Amino acid sequence: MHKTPLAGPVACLLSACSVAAALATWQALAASGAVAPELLASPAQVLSALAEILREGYRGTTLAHNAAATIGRCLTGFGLAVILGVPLGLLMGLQPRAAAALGDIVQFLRPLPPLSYMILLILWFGTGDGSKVALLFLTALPIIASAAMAGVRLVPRPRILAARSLGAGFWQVVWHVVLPSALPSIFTGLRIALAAAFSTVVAAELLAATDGLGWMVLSASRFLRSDVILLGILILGVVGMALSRALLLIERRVVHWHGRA
Amino acid sequence: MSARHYVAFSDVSVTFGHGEGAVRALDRVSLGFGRGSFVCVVGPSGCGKTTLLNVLAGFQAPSDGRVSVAGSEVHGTGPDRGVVFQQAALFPWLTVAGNAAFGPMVRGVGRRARAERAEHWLRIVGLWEFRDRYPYELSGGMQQRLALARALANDPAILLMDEPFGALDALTRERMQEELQSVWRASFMTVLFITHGVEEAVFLGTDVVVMSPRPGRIIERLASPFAHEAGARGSRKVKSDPAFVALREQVLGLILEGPETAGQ
Repeated sequence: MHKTPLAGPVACLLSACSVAAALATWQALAASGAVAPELLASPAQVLSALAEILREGYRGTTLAHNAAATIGRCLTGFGLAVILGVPLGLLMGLQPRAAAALGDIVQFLRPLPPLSYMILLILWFGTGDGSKVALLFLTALPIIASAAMAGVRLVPRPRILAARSLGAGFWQVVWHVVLPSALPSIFTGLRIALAAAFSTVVAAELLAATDGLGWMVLSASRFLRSDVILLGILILGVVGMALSRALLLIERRVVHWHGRA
Repeated sequence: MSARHYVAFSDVSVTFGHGEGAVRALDRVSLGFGRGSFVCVVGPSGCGKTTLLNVLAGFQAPSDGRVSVAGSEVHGTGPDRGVVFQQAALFPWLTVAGNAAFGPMVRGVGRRARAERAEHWLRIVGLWEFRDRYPYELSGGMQQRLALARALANDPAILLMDEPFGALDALTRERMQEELQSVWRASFMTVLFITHGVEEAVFLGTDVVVMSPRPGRIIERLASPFAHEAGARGSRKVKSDPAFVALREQVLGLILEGPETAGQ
């Protein structure tokens, strides 16, 4: 059964209830003493860790710096993948020869777990931002290119014929008809690619980094600071949600006609 | 068909596929008509009437024969031939005004001039007050009026319409027929109109061309006087006129029974 999603005060109330229930369970578990505090800090301890880090920073870095490092890497790799992936996908959708030439490479990269070639990228680009941006670029690129290609193939043919009969040349059809027609599909790809890039950047920071939210979590684990670990996880979740929400808002503005035409 | 016709199909054949699975959509079709004609093509599905339009539009190259407009052969699409499809095929990311101005825009007409062109036609089809809306906010009939305005804003010499009112309800279709007719009467446009509605064809056309399927051929061409009369007399009066009914039945007979038995 398909039902319309709830919105408004009822949805907010239900959501607040389940968040409160999760927090209460967490608090009860931590307070019961069943789990050692080094392994599970209480919500109150996490809150005081947040206050401490905001006041004094964490091991010489500020929270803002770490969040900015993670988001910056994520958006740089993702942005490069958009700049190259969208034209690449359009080309593959428009030119069967390009699709034949590049399709298998893209389809090989797409399901490949990015961390499997991360080591190689570190050898090539070092442990700094270069290897991470390259990793995220390679994570997002095949997803975006595939989505753009699929979008081109879904353009209704009468729409293209209409534009041609109105006098549009090949590049005008690409720019004024094919690209906008493919945008809903491209945005679907962007959302998947951004989520993949974000989870990959955190995993990469957990492997090798000197700053970033993932690094903060890894570093805290070495000192058994479960309060900082949990704080890092919560911040990561909130940042991930904010990124995908922001992209969704952009999508709704740009492809306002989608689902209605 | 000789070159003295404004639009001339000469021995045009179109075959889809190869070998045993090949389909002969058009079989040596010849048809010519003069400037300002309103030619309606009727026939059952599969008779090649849409292929006929696609060849003139330049969407489909003939396998054999040639098509010419004003003496020069058709190669590919051109803004001199505007097309209106059964599904409006509008650009959903553009406003009503943006859709209407699309043709002039891609042809490099200046911003001011193309806005004026769009306004002129949007006023005529009654969509000016909706100029800032998007196509998905319009009803089916309004979308089709916009598709018409979009084609007309390019000042085409020939208007090609492929069952443009087929998806509309009966009342809207009747209104659209009258609007199209008044636009045509006020212009020097030549119209090729594809339909499976016999009454529509006899009502709108100066010429009614009847086609039959497998292979697609023209079996009859009839002149219809009603396109010129409807404006003065009103469409309901025309459609119940005994002469109109007789012609309608004649065309229907041709479609149902073929040229051998019709009219006997």
